[in-house]
Amino acid sequence: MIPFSWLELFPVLQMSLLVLMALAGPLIPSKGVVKGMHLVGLTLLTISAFIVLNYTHTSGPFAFQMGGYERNIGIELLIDSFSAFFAFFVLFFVTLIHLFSMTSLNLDTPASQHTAYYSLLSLMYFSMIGILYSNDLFNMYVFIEILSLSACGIISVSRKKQNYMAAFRYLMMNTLASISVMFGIALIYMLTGSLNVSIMAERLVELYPMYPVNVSLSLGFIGVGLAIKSAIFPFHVWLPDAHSSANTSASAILSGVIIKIYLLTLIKLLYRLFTLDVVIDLRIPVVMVVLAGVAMLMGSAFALGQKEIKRMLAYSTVSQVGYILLGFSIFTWGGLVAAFFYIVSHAFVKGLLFLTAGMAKSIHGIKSIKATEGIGYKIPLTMMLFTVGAMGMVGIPGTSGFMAKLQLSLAFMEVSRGYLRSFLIISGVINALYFFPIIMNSFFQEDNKEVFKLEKIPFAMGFTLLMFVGIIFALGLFPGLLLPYLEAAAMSLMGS
Amino acid sequence: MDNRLLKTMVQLLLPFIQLYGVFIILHGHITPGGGFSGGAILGASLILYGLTFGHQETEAIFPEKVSAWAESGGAMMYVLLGLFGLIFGASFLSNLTAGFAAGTPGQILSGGFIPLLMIAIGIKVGSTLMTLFSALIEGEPS
Repeated sequence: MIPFSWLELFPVLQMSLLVLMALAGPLIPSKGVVKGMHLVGLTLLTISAFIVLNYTHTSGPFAFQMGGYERNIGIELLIDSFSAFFAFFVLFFVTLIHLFSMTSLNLDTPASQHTAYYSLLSLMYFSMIGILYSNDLFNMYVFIEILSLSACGIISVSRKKQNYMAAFRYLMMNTLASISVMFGIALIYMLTGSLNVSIMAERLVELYPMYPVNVSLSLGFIGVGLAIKSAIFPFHVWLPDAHSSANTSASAILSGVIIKIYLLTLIKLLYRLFTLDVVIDLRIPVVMVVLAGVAMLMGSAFALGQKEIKRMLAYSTVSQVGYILLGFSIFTWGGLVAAFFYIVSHAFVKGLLFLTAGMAKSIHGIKSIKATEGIGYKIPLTMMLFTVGAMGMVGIPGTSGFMAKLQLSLAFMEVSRGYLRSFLIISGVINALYFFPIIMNSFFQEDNKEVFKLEKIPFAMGFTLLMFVGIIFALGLFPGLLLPYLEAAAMSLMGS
Repeated sequence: MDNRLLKTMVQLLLPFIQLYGVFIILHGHITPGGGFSGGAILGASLILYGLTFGHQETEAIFPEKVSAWAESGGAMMYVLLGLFGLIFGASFLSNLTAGFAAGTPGQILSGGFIPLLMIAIGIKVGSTLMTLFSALIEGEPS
C-alpha cells in the first residue's frame, strides 16, 4: 500500500458525506434538524474544500483511485488546482445560499417538500463536485445525469403548474443532451479503448490523424450535449422557464453554479481530452466565437423584451454564458483566466439579483417590471441590494463585473483580436438598458406617494446578501485575492 | 367481483417469488443476476400483492416508513461499505485489500464484500420499486 497524506482522502469523504446527508434527510422527522444538519455539513465541506485547495497549491495535484484498480479500468479522481478551486467555489456558494434558504424556503415552498428539497440539493452538490473531481469520462457522464435529474426535481419542488411545465421541458431537453453526450463518449471510447481522460488524451495524439472524422463527430456530440445543458444561445429554450419558475434559492443555485458546471466540463474536456491542437485543427474556436457573440447579443435582446423580473434575469444568464464562452473560445491562458473570473463573478452577481428579485416576489408580491414603480421607498434595502447586483452585471467600476469584463478585454488585446470587445460593449449597453429602468422606476419617481421606510430582512437572509455584496466589491477592488487561484487553475489545464 | 381465485393464487405464489428474489440477490456474485435483478423481483412481488389486495393491505404489511428506511438504509449501507476500505488503509470501495475474506471461489461465501453490496442494492431497489408504485397509486408522492 502506498502511503499518502490523509488530506488526500478528503475528496472522497466530501462526496460520501454529501450522499449520506441526502439519504439521512428523509429519515429525520424534524425539518429544523434537517436544515441544521445540512448547514453544519456544508460548512465542514467548505472548510475541507479550502484545505484541499491549499494542499494542491503547495504539493501539487494528486489522484485517487476508487477501489484500488488500475487507472485505465478503474475510476480516477483527479484533484488539481482546477477541480479543487471550483469544488471550493461551488461549496462556498451553496453554503451561503443554504443559509438564505433556511428562512426563504418557508415563504415560497410547501412545508411538506422541504426535506426532499434539501436531499435533492445535497445530491446535486455531490454530483457537481463529482463532475469536477472525476477524471473518468463515463463517471463524469453519470454525475451529469444525476445533476440533471436532481435539478429537474428542484425545479418542480414548488408544485405549481408552471413548475411542472418548466421541469418537463428541462427534463426533455436535458435527456436529449445526455444522450448526445453519451453518444460522443461512446464514439471516442470506441477509438481509444479507455475511459480515463488522461490516457485517452495520450492515445488521441496518435489516433487523431488516422481517424479525424470519429474525433470530430465525438467532439460535436459532446459539445452539443454540453451546450444544451449550459444553455448556449440556440439551445437555451429550457432555461428561462426553469430558472424563473424555481423558488428563490433554487434559481440562484441553478443560475449561479449549475450551468457553470457544464461549462467547466466543456472547458475540461476541450483542454484535457481533445487537447488544443485537435480543437484548433477542427476550427472549433470559430464556431465558439460565433455562438458566443450571438448568445451575448440575442440573450440581452430577449431580456430587453421581458415583462417579469425573474424571466429577465434568466435571459440575462443566457447572454452571460456567451461572455464566458467568448472568454475561453480564444484558447489562450489569459482568456481562460478571464472566463474563470467571469464564472465566479457572475455566480455572485446573478445570485444576488435572483435572491433580491425572489424576495421582492415572495415577500412583497412584486413580480413584473411594471410593478416596481416606487418600490424603492417601500422596500429600499432589497432594491439597493438589487442595484448593487445590477451594477455588477452592467460592469460599473468597483464591482466584480467590471473586473471580469476588463480581464476579458485584456485577453482579447493580447491575441490582437480587440474587435471582440465590441460584443462586450454592445451587450453591456443593452444590459444597462434593461437593468436601469427598474432602478429608475423604483427610486426616482417624481410623483411618489410612498413613505420612505426601511423594511426588515430576516437575519439569515440579510447575512447572505451582505456576504454577496461584500464579495462583489472585494473582487472588484482587489481581484488579486482570487487571481492566483484562477491562474493556477488555468495553468493546470493548459499545462497538460 | 369476488376474485378469490386471484388472491389464493397470489398467496400461493408470493413466497416462491420472494424466495427466488432472495436467491438471486444472495447468489449475485456467482451466478447471473444480482442485487438489482433480485431487488426488482422482490419489488415486483410487493407490487403484485398491492395490485391484488389493494393499497391499504399493502400499507399494513409494508408501511411507507419501512420503505423509506429501507431505501435510505440500503444506499447508506453501500456508502459505508465503501468507507470501510478507507478505514482499513485501502482505497474507497476496495474489496480484498480492505481485509474482506475472499472465501472459496464458486461457494456462496466468497467474493469479499460483493454479497454485502448485493444485499444493499437489493434492499434499495426493492423498496424503491414499491415507493414508485405507491406514488403512482396515490397520485401524489409522499
